[in-house]
Amino acid sequence: MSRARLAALLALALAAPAARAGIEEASAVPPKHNGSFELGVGSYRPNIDSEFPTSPGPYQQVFGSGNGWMFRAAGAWAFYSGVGSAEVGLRTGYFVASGRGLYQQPDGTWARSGDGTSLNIVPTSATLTYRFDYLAEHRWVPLSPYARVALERYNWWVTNGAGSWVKKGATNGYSWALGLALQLDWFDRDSQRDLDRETGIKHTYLFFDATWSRIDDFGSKSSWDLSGAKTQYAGGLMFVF
Amino acid sequence: MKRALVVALVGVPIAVIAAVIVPGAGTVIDDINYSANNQVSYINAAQCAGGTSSLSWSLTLAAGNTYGGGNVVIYASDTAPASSSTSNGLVLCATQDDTGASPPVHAGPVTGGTIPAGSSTTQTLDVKGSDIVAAVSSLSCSTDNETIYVCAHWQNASNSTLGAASGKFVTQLAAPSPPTGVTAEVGDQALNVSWSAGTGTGAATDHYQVTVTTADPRDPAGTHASGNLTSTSTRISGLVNDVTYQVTVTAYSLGGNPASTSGVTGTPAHVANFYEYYKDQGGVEAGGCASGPAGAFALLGAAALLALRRRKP
Repeated sequence: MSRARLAALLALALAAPAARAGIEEASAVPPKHNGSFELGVGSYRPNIDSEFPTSPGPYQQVFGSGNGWMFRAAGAWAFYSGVGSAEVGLRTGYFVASGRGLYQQPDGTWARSGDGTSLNIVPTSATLTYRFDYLAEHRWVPLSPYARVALERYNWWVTNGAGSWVKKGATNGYSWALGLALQLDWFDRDSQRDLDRETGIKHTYLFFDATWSRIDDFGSKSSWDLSGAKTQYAGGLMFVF
Repeated sequence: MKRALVVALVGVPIAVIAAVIVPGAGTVIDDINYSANNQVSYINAAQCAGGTSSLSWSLTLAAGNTYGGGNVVIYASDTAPASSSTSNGLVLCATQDDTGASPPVHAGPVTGGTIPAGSSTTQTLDVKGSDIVAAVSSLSCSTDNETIYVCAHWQNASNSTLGAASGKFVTQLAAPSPPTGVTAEVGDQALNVSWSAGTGTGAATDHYQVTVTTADPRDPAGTHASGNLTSTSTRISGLVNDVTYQVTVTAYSLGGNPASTSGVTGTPAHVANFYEYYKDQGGVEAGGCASGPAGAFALLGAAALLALRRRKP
């Protein structure tokens, strides 16, 4: 992430307490919504090769150098709704990296085989999110910056060429994220009112966020590092109900 | 009422059978070269050259009859079967030439057999494909795409035809173009075989089969084959590592005419999956959960917190 983009996200996040003084009366208002549900997809590449001194490491040799996609779904319940809103929630998802297994040639070098192999990860998170949605709710500014911290547990398994699981495990850690949500109601209030009446969805947001994670069993020396090798960018839709 | 009862008694079991196997009631098919989509059986080049066509049929009985054994005669005709002129209403093939008809009819018996009393109305009989074609004097096995109607007529001891089945057969003599670009990549006790569809003017390819063979005594089975494939790649497993296999990919037309490509070899070898390779390179991950259940407890704790909060009024 460039410094400019990071600064913009931080500025938006920091705007929350700054705005608090002028909206004291809003904090006394009872919760306006019950929670949220979101679907998203983001870039991800586990940092497994970081434990190897030379490059390319085994992950890159088997799966290549590109990022993969991690699909996630989350549900959260609001426990505070005043100057912004705070939610606790659970999130899960799926990531798979697919490549070819390697075999050793007579000269000792490794060559790519025709057998597939894959690393599958189901990340599960307990999340705490603060979203500064006061402007979107009361001032017709459709942007809501948010910050999120999460406890993470990545369940993973590796398959061989026959599709069988050959190893499985779980790696724990934590993550934090900064994001910006664009309230889509702003573009079509009538449709949103219809949606609220028919489904109970009060607001729809398009969100983008950047996540930094540390998923290595809190520094265990017998765990690989499933942290994102780089900043993970994600986007998706969030429905507030 | 009686007719309805007979239809119920005969038709229901046939319908049940037809749900799991071919042929359907009143139908003659070739067990192997039958296209359910086209409702046509094919007589391919090998069958025209004297190979066997495995006929299978399920008789429709004339009203008021139950199957009691007797003779079954197989007829072939270039004219579609029609309801008989007798009162029993069975759909029958012409049994002999009628050159005075317009258009002329060419038909004749292929073969016959004695069916013992108590047999099922579903029966099988192997005949030469060439004999089916030869029974129709106007046709020969040198012409592709000829239509022949094949009928099974059941006759009782009095030579009355009391049951029949019929089917449409088509000669298909052309083979598809052979597959191209066959490759056999190394697998662990397996070969990953892929190929491209042949290009040319041959018959359309209906399916493929892959066969790998070896004479190496380390693999006593020697031959391993895929089933019928519509894709252009497959993984042949159950092989022996470090044994070299000959790979043959055969394309089949709908009628079963083959076109093979061989000459490619492959040698299975031990393949390291990602985790195995990672460990081979010195990776530390041991599987399981190194931090113990703490992470899981943390998530469960969060879930419990949520549940408690939701119970509040």
